[in-house]
Amino acid sequence: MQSLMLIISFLVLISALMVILSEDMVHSALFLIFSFGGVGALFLSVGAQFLGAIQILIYTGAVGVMMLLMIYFTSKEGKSIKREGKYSGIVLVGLLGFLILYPSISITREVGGTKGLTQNIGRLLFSDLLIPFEVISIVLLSAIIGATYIIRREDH
Amino acid sequence: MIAFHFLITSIGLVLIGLYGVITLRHPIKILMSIELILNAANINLVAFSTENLIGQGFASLVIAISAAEVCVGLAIVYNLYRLKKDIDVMEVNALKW
Amino acid sequence: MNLVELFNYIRSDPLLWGIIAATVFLVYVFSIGGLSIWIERKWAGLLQSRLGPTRVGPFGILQFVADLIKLVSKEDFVPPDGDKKVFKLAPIVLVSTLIAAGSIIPFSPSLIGSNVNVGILFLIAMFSISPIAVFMAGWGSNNKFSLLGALRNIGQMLSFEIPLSLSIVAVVVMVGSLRIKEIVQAQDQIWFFALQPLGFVVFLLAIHAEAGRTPFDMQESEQELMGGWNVEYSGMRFGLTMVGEYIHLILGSMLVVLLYFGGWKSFGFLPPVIWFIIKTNIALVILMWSRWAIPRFRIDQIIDIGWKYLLPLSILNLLITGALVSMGWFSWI
Repeated sequence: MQSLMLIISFLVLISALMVILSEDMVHSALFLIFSFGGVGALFLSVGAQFLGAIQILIYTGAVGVMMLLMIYFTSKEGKSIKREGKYSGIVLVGLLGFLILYPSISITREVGGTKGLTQNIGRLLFSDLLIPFEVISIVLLSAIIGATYIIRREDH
Repeated sequence: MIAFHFLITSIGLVLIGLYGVITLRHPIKILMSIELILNAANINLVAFSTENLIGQGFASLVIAISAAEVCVGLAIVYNLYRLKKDIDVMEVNALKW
Repeated sequence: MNLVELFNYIRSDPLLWGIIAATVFLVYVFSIGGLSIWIERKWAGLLQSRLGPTRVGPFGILQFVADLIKLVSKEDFVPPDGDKKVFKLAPIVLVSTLIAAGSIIPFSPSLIGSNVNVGILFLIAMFSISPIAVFMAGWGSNNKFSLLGALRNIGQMLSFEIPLSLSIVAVVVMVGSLRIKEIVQAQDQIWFFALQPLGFVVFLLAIHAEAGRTPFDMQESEQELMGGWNVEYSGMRFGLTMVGEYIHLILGSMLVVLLYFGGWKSFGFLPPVIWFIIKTNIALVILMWSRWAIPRFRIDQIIDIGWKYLLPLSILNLLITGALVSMGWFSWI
């Protein structure tokens, strides 16, 4: 199981890199969907069953499909525009990566252990995280209204 | 299970996403990079919620927020396409159309 | 190591057991799928005063074998200007996700691939991947008709997934568990179609639309799109898209039986597995019936049905169910 998870996280990183590097927009959206699915598998490996299913349902099923539809609607060739500031970006990100990676090498904590079952997460969302949960519902409602307002046609 | 490969995965995702946000010029690709960063945060939140489930509950809130963000972001991208026909974040410099 | 030890060893390893369950589901789907194609053609012939297939085997029952041989022996054509990798990958993604969804279907109290905690949520999640496969097929074909068919399919699936999920959630609220096994066990005294009539109607319409059956099969309307998103496929890849469609239909009829008609619950004198298969096939025939009885809607009418009628109805159903549950009406379940 451990080696399977190592392979999956390697594939997640490779496909995330391909999201950035791929010239074809549809290819990079598909790589993105694949890495979402891999992250869902990582969630399942630490016992977070509910989050794994939600990750696949929302990220691959909703976000990924919306990305694909928008690529179809907006880009005629399906190709993306060139990148800008490649090398300075690598330097900046490499520096930041060194700063994050250096202290985290020494972390040897165990992960997992708690079972993220549906009942437990539901109880948590309606007790400790009740106020964020309600705020999220308002945010989602305003996002729906805002998106339909932004995308409406003037000439109707 | 040891935490290290979760850490490596999430650091890798956050760096790749950051590089994408800095260098790419297509707004949909920038949205994709932001999604990668949010996923990286979620990996850490889920993997290190060992004593209680607060991290996992919080990760589910993050997923909902990112769905809302993608919804609004793609609406803006589509409007941009209707106005300019050529999507490039460098070209978006008018305060009012 | 004798057979019992081998079985227990396989049973204790979730990965191996899951793979075996998916394989068993695949074999089941291929046999029942082949048979159900024959049943559908005979049934269609009956409804339209025709004979249906008669030549191959007794009553034409081996017609699907002949079709399969034809499909295997055909050329596997890939459109030269399309996106070849995406085109080749699409049917595989479609079929493999649907088979993974099938591995959690309980055929009887003991014959179940994986009794995961998230149960039916996993099934909905796996259903939600199939629009991606359809988009891949439509995009990779580099063909107007397949792209239009794929877009219609995605719009239809996105708009009908919400009423489908909400009507399932009403059942889940009543039972208090996402595990399909517990949902079936809660139907000991009364089957849920009697307690959830509104939810059942919404679910039936939504599963029709999800599986793309005829009143809602705008995605592959032959007269205007020449067959929809799989028009460029040929040979075994076309066979895989057809198999995906049939797995969708079979999973839909299994869900109807499991959620609303008591799963393997029986009247005795036959083992539970047989009862489950019989009920599933009755549901399958009823789902097929509408194809030959009801004419096709327009795409805007389909989207209207999804958003303007089924979604409010399913929310209303969920509200009523929640109110009744909180008043303690279903505490005996």
